[in-house]
Amino acid sequence: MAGLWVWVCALFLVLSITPAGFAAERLRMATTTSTENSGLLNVLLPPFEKANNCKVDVISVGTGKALKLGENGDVDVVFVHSRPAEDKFVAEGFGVDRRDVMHNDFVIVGPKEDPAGIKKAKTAAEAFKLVADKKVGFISRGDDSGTHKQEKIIWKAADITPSGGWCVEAGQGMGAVLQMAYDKKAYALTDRGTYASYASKLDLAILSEGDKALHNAYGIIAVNPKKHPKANYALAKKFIEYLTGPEGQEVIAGYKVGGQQLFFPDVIKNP
Amino acid sequence: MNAAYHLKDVVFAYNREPALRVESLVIGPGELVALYGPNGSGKTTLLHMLAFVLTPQAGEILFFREQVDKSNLLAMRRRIGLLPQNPYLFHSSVIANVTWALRIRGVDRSTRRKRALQALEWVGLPGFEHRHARGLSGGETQRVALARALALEPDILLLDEPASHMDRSSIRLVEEIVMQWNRALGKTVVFSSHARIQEHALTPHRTLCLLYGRIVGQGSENIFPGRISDSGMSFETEHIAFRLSRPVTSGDYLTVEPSRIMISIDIPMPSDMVNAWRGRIVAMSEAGEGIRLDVEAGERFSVLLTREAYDRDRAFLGQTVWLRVPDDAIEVLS
Amino acid sequence: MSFFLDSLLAAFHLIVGFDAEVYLIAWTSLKVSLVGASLASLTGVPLGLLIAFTEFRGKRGVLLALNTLMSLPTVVIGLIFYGLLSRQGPLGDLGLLFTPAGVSLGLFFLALPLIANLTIAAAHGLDPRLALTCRALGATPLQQAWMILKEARFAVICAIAVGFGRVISEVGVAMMLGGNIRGFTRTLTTAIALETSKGEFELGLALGMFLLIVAFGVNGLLFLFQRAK
Repeated sequence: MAGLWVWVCALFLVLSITPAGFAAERLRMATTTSTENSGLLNVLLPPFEKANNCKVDVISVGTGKALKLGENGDVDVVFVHSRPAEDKFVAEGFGVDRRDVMHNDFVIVGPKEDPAGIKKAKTAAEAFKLVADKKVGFISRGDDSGTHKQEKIIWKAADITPSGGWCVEAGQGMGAVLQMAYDKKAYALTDRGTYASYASKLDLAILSEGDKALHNAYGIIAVNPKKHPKANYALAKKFIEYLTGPEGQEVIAGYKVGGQQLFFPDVIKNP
Repeated sequence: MNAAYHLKDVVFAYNREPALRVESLVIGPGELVALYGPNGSGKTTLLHMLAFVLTPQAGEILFFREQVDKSNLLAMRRRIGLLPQNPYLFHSSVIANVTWALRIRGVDRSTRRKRALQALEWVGLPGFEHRHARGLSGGETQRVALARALALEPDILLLDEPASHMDRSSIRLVEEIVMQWNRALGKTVVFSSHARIQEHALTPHRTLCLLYGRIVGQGSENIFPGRISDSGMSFETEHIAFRLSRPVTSGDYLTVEPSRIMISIDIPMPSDMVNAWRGRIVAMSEAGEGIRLDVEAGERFSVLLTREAYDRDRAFLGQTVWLRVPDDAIEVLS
Repeated sequence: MSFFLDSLLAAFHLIVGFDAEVYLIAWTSLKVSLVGASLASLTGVPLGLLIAFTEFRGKRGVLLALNTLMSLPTVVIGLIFYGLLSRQGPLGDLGLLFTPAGVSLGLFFLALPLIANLTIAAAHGLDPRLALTCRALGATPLQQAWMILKEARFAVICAIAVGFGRVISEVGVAMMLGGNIRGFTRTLTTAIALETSKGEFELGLALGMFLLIVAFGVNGLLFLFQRAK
């Protein structure tokens, strides 16, 4: 009995002295699930971490929650994609130094057979309208994420308030929504990056793309140090400079999944 | 006198229902005291109070002249060995059970072991030390619990119904230990029993009779349940009827003081035939300075004779005698 | 069928592959859960004994509250502690949000009512003669509590195992207070949630199997304790 106690106490000691992390400084970034799930951050962050001897803690949530975390000062920088919400965030004084970083685009995906016939639609709003008319099924993110905000913008443009059994609010991440669209043979709005990484797993086709309303821009904002003095503004600023500088922009431009480029840098021209 | 216990106006109540009320009780050092009374009469409550595991709501207890209060309760408790009626053994080995109380007193390991093995030998369980306590029979459990109390070498030994869960041979053994503990070591022993004291080999110096939470007679072992009849002039037990000198309106028990009972070999005078019965001497034993006779005369009476009376009458076992109870030896309780 | 077979294979690869990241995730899970469950045991067990063996005003209320707290969803505990640990919250200065210590704190409060409650149940299941025996043998309250603990060790260790099981398997607190930060606060459960959301179902299930193995190790240790002596 006594021997066991000693053993467990020793284990505890080891546990308690194990350092939480080795880097001296930490930068907390709230970002969207689509950014993290694309795998971009795995190549984008290490050069910055190495150069500044720091560690970037990535908290990936929906755009809404990411901005909320910034509002509460629980992160130092937010990296999201919903221009109206970002502008509001800055206007209310929660964020400073907003910069465009990169963009890709949203696409409307659905079953290959395209039961609603949205392929012939010229705009995204028109495509949505067709889906609503035929009531063939639409999976909404329903989680106040950037994609969800984009959905709402398009519905508004189509002058439709989606309701009824054909519109499902998933309340989940992009991947789960694509999975549901595949299982239910329904349509969904997705960012091209996430679609690309799922394309091999799910039998979903891009049925509408290219409309201006489908432009998906990613912006980075530092949390306002005047509002939250404890936020690591200095490092946040460095990170913004890195992302919008040549080094970061080139990493973004060079990131490919399955031979396809997922994000297009905004500061430098595409090589 | 340096009394072991001195209880003054002690009251103990469960949920405001008084369970025990003792106006005055003195137990001398080295005394062997029997507590006698029916179930629910307060014997266990009194023993637990003497063991300081129950604290009375009112009154005071002097223990070897010292007032017992919160500050010295633990120290007092540690001078007492209690054998509860239905003892609880810990889920561990017999030896761990016996040594635990010594361990928490800070007794070193080798002394602990020595004393525990000694105590187990006393109670007739040598070689039991590595047995698991939960695999013992009722009698063995009782004896291990006794060993646990004895190993503490307490100043006071309290035994609650020591005979209730044991077989005959175990009872005999325990009683012998208790007698030895009392006689050879001069330790105070208090034990309780709902059975007739006469059925024990133990001969207490004194018997306390408890009824409804009160000590109703010191030395009274003759306690007979029954009822009043004859418009208050008689008390009928199951087998015999007592004639009462004064009418009594209610009563459930009748006690007879053992030292006041008169014994004669000849038939008493007709004028003395009130409350007189013919009986047979069924047991004899020493009781302190005197002699105790058990006489079966319809009810079983315990009679205390002085040595002179015994020498004069030369009573012998199996002898038929006349037993007469004077009026002033009778008390009716309700 | 191939789904489960693939998951099993993936789990096997995760474990024998000694992938540093997976092992770090498992280690983080184990660390935050052990710290949370141990703190909850160290406070919940004495608290349970205290509540069980003392009479006080409002005891029924406390028991009812403890029972109710057991039904608290983990995400709600996560939200409550987010409110406390957020930089704007009253404990924001501690800087515990999105750290393993913050997760442990939330897990501690998750397991506390559970362990306290089960300890109370264990104490009520004890023989009433035990306390009397301890007192009659001259035990101090502390010595008595220790003996009671030893006598009730089967049930108490079971309570601790239930508490540990609850914290290592929950995802709400770990997600909310840890933030699922890769290489820092990512636990097995948040990793499972992440992989599942990415559609990597096989990997998610494989991580679940890994979690079971970790839990098996801890429970094995507790089992040894239970059997000791």
